[in-house]
Amino acid sequence: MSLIEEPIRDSCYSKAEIRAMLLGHLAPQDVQRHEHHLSVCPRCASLAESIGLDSGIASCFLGEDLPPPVSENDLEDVLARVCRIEQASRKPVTKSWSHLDLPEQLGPYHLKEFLGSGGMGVVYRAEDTVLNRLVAIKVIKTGADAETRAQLLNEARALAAVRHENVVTVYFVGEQPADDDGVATPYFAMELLEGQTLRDYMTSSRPSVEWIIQVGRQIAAGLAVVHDAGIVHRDIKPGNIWLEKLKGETSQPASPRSSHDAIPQVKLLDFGLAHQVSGLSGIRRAGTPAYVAPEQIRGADVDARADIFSLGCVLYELCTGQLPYPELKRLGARWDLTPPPIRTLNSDVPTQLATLIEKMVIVDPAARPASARMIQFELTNLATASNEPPTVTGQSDLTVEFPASAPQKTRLPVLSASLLLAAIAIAAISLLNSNSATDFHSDDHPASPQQTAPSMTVLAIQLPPATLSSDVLDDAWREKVLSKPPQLQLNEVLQRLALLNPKFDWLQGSGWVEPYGVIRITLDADTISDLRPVQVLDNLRVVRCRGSAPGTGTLSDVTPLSTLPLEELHCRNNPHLRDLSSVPLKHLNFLDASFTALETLEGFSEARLTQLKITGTKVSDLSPLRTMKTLRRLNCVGCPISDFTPLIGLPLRQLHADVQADRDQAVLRSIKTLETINQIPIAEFWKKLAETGSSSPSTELDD
Amino acid sequence: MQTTSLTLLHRLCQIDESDAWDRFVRLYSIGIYSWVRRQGFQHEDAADIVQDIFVTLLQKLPTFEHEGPKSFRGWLWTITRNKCRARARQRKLEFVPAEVCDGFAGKDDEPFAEEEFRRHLISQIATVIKADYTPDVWQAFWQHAVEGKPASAVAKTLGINLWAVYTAKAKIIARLNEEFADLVSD
Ligand SMILES: [Zn+2]
Repeated sequence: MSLIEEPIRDSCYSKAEIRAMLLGHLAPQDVQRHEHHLSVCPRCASLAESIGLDSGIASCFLGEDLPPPVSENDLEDVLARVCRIEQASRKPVTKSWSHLDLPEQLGPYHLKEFLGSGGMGVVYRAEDTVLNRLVAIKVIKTGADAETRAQLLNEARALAAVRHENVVTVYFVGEQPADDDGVATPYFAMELLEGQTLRDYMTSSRPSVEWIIQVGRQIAAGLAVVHDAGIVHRDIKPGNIWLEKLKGETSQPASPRSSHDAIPQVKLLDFGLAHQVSGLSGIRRAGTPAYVAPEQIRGADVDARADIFSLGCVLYELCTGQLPYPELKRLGARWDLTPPPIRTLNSDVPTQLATLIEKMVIVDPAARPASARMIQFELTNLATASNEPPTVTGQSDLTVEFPASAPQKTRLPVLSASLLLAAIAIAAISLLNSNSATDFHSDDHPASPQQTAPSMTVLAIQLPPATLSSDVLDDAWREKVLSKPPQLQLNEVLQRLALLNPKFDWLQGSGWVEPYGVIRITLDADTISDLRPVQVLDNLRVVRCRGSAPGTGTLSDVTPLSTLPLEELHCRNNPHLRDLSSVPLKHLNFLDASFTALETLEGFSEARLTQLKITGTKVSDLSPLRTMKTLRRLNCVGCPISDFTPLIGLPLRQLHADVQADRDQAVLRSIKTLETINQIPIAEFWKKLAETGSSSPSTELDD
Repeated sequence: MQTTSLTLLHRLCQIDESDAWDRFVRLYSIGIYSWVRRQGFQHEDAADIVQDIFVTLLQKLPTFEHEGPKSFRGWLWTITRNKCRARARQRKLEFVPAEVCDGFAGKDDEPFAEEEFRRHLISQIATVIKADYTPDVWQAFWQHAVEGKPASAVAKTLGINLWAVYTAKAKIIARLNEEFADLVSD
């Protein structure tokens, strides 16, 4: 076709203009006009057609005159080697962030500064214009496919349910509705922190043994709650462990070996930056090789014990200055070596600590300590032992909690620094179970009596129903809330909850928002007893209002939930909560009422629960469960139950209970679907039970 | 120094952008490795060479003066060539096939070797950026700009409109020219 013969219209464009319009550099309102013009004007279309790659480049892309690709195994080895150098030698770089395609506003968040990116996410410093605070916003890249986005959102959702001083707080998970390109933008908001990563700390300081114990205890505590939420971090390493600067701490480094080394507040970071993918990129993303458990490197299914291995590596390195398996070609198969005993490298380390760490880095996951909670307990004990006299609580009192109103002007972007260090192998996270409510067994053991015995003399504080309509839920307020977009609905409710529950910091509440409404809410029952504002959120499927430990929750009344389409109710650790009769059963499939004052399951026989947790309650009679043909999992450790026959005929797979060999064996053996009791495979369980007599074996600590 | 384009390298030196670093590592480690293998080195040697090269890169990158698109490529080529020579010399004592050493003996075929080196690197670009695009966008670019099919035919095959094919192509080409200027510009 000859260009000359085409009439050049007034409306035609130069090649540079056409390139600019294709790149979206011209006014967006003109896009349709441009698109139309290209479709009707052969001259301009041929100019668009002629924008191209150099033929030499195209030929390279096609692999012409190049050898066939080298094998994936070889490439993995090369990448792993480069990763190792990168890790060992890369130094923190002064940050001078650039702006890259900065979207201005996501929901209520005004994006201010690009902080970094990795995996599937891009992180910005942002201002929450509603709450007037600074946050870190992670935006899931639009390049991600729908499945990846959904998975990342699931992960974020699970993490948002975790509220713990040793885990970075996710405030909000949401999705910006689709714009012109038809792709919605998922994002989540997290706290901004001040301080440094453990990696940075390790380059400049050698910590004392006390410091290691205290920091290790906090990491284990954070991991324990994360595991409880059904999440495996998969990339625990110094670069993902944040040491929050203590209030009043000077910038002068403490003397390296001082026993007065300030103990920082630890926060686990970098959840959900990437998810595991297979093949070459799997190696990059499955974790940082130096700290990754062997089973994870092999690509096997991993559980919490993979994180325990990684934590063991971190502690080993802190104690000795070297990794337990430094010489290993970690992506190879040689895991038959035993790391040098810690005390041969550093005799300052107490035997008990050394033994614990050495167990954590055992190649066989089954030989490692079974839970992060257990490690947390052991380290707490060690901390107490090394810090005579012990503090009142038996816990370190050096862990400082910051009020939410801590000064923010000098806060540094926490995620950016971690991204910086996690340059190649980016944190991976995975849900153990699509049901984020999965708990670990250790939690279900009743704690010491004074903590758990529900005090029957304390009456629930019931507000007179008259106040319901007037000050809390009047129509004007309800209308005001419902007229707002779902995320702001959530904020309104959290604020109203704070009015009614003065100790509740509403910034710490969180939820999950779909375009049609708020479907989950997570609240801290230590500070919340009045749930009434929640009932305005009539799409709520999941309510979590748990106490942080047995005995701490203040919730006693769940009647405000009675009109909600609840699927999950998490209300453990509320010792005054006795009456669950108002809980709507129609859609309910999960109930965790452990360590509440619940005494009976009567009224639940209509429910179609798949999981029920009543550990540490006074429930003695399981017969209402007889008709619950959906129940797969029951936790009832510490309950005065003497008869398990109502469970016969249920599709029960997992049971956590105090089992007595002579009394219960015949009954429980007749439940053929049972896979584990107290987390021990069933065959092994009976064998152990026979050995230990009547006491019910468990993989966990019994205190 | 005028920074006209935000090249990959420039971004690496200027800011710490982990995504760019990630792409950098994959592109260069695999590209260099495949070229080194092509020179006759076995896997262990080739992997060692790549590792050595990265040690040098990591030491020197922060202070590397970026003087135009070609200089980094030239610098990398020099490092790679020297490492290969050193390894070949070292291996000669260990009875390695003579042709491995020959390849690094003189400067006769240097321009050709450097060009081949560059082709190995370029061939990796697609694999490191592909994941950033939806399959439709990538396919539109690939079929139209790489395979040279007319945009209308590509649009028809993919069931998208002509405009989408053009924008996909323009965006990816613009990115190549910006981020990988070291490699794609002469
Ligand atoms: Zn025209």
